[in-house]
Amino acid sequence: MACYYRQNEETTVTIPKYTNETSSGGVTYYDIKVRVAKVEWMVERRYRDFAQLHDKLVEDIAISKKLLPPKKLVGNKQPAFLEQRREQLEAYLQELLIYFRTELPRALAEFLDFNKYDIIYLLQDLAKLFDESGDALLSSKKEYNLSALEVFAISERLSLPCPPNVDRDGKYDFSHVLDFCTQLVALVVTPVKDNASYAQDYNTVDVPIGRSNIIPNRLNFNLNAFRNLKTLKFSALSTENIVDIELLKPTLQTICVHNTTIQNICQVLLCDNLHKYCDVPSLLPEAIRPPSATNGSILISTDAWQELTDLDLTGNLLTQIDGSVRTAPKLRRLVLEQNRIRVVQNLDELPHLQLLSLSGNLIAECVDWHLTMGNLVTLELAQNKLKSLKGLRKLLSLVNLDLSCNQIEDLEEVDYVANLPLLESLRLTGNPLAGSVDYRPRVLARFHERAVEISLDNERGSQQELDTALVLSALLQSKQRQRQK
Amino acid sequence: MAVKMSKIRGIANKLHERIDCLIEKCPNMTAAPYNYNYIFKYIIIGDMGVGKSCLLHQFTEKKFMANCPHTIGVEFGTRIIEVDDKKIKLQIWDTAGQERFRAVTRSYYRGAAGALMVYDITRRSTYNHLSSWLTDTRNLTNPSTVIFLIGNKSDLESTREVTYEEAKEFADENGLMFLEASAMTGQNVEEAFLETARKIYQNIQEGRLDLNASESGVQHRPSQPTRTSLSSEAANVKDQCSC
Repeated sequence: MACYYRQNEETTVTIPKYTNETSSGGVTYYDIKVRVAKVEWMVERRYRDFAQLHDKLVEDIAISKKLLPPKKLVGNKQPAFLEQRREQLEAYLQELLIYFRTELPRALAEFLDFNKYDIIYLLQDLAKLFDESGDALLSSKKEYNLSALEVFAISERLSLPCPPNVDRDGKYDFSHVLDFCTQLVALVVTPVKDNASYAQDYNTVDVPIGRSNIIPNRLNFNLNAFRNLKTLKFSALSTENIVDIELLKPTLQTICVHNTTIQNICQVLLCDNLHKYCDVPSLLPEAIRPPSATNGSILISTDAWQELTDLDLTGNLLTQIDGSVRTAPKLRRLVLEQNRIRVVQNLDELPHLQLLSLSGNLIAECVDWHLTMGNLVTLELAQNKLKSLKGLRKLLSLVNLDLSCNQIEDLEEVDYVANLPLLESLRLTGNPLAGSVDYRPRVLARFHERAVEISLDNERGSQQELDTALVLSALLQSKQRQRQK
Repeated sequence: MAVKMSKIRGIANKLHERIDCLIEKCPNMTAAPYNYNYIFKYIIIGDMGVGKSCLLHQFTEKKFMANCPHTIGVEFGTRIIEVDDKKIKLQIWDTAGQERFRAVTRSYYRGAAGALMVYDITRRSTYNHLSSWLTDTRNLTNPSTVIFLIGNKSDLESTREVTYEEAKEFADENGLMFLEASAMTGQNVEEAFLETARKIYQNIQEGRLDLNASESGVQHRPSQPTRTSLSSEAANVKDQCSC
């Protein structure tokens, strides 16, 4: 990202070419190339824009009126003339840049798109916005979307030796931005603002911003300005771009990361930690710690997420649940939908976990899950590869269970979950067994007298189904008795 | 002449307020866009590790931040307080004490209405550096900036190296306000920030501080966003309100 304040010595403006295609109505556009150190971008302007800029500069700052090449009414389409004018306009811009060595006037900054790509001028835009409507935005309590570039600019600006206010009436004062940031409760960070296509497809994260060479995924920032954040959402942008997250740990309650290429949870929960791939030590006191947890090499030391209750990592490339979830001991909701997880592990130190969603993963078996997550109330396992439900048989607090679109064939498997005393909702649609004759009454029959209370595939049993179920249940019981004899 | 000017300014400032009062009393006018009347800008300065960030945190969050990391560049906090029934928003810039950030720190002096200069009562070196901090403050702020000296860590009485008396003397010699405070227990923290605000407010009332100057560090927020001039506003009030 550009910083003219610091790098004005390395700033150049050129006009490499002009275009006057018939598609644009024969209007001649000059393609301006701005370069600030390693950052560069293109801006397209026509002569009329130059004239307007010039008028404003003459009026506000009293620069020489003769600086801009004059308007020509006849013959202004000839290549020789356009080439000459291109050179003149280039010289004009270069002259302006010498004139405004330390600080660009707003009109010029906007003309050259500095307010899109430069730290100081971009934040001036934000300051103006928050000065006018910051309080309204905050009082609505909604989440607020900032682009990676904006977050980066805020974080960089805090260590820039540049006074916060430049103008007289304080409209562009950086304080307004920080004032807003410190009070913001829910922040969404995306590569660019309000662009749905980015959120959809994480393969495009290396696309630069606008007509510049700035790539959002390569901007590293901290979020220290956001002192009271409770919800943090990242979309199509890796949390590894955060260089320091310690200050957010005491307040953050919800973290959502969607549509990125992250493969491990530690890339989120330990995003700023250099040793994140080392084994995370158990946070339990030594006396009650399971012996296995102490074996790993304990290299990592990190503060826990004291308030984090919700973690939603839908739509990434996670392959496992690594030990870093232990750093969030108060987790209540863990959503890991649409990933590539095969094995469920490391959940044994999350006693508050109530909702676990693993829909759309590659889980083929569940082994004695009650040993690690005994307090689950809602478990979503739709679109996995489960064949057997034996491992769920003692999840005694379970109320909602979604098993749709798995590979359960045998009706006997239902018995394992039919014994769960609190179960109210069960979804089995999309499994091979759901295609069999009398599927609904036969499943309901497995619940015996509790069949009335069960909602199967989002629907209570009809009277007819329940009657059938009752008969089937009686048959089942008599069969069982015979077997016992 | 100067006395007259300040009197006139004082009267003008009071008029501003009177109008705000009138507007607030009129129920049929649109709701105030801001929930405060003034913004005061503060800056906290002092050597590394004296507890500037902790003071800020204690003031804004009413909590003590143990193992607080070093400030990089600057940090920021706000709180709305009340002085004389006026809501005042404090925008506080917390600067880095480390020498390598001195350039960053210096750029934030400009336009501060209040400067809190902090030293650590258990480390004499931080007290000895005060004169250089004071020189910076005097050079880079305007004459009406209120400077408040805080001796932090007053809870650590046993390891004290700077006595209350000598610091008090230093403050009096240089015309500073002074308190010893503790960011850990919260003792006197509230007082230091509020006393500074009261002093600034008093300066406004007495016209020593020009609200319209760009670097006064004070912004007045009219309850109505579209104020253009005093006279038209006053006329407006008369038209629409019966009080």
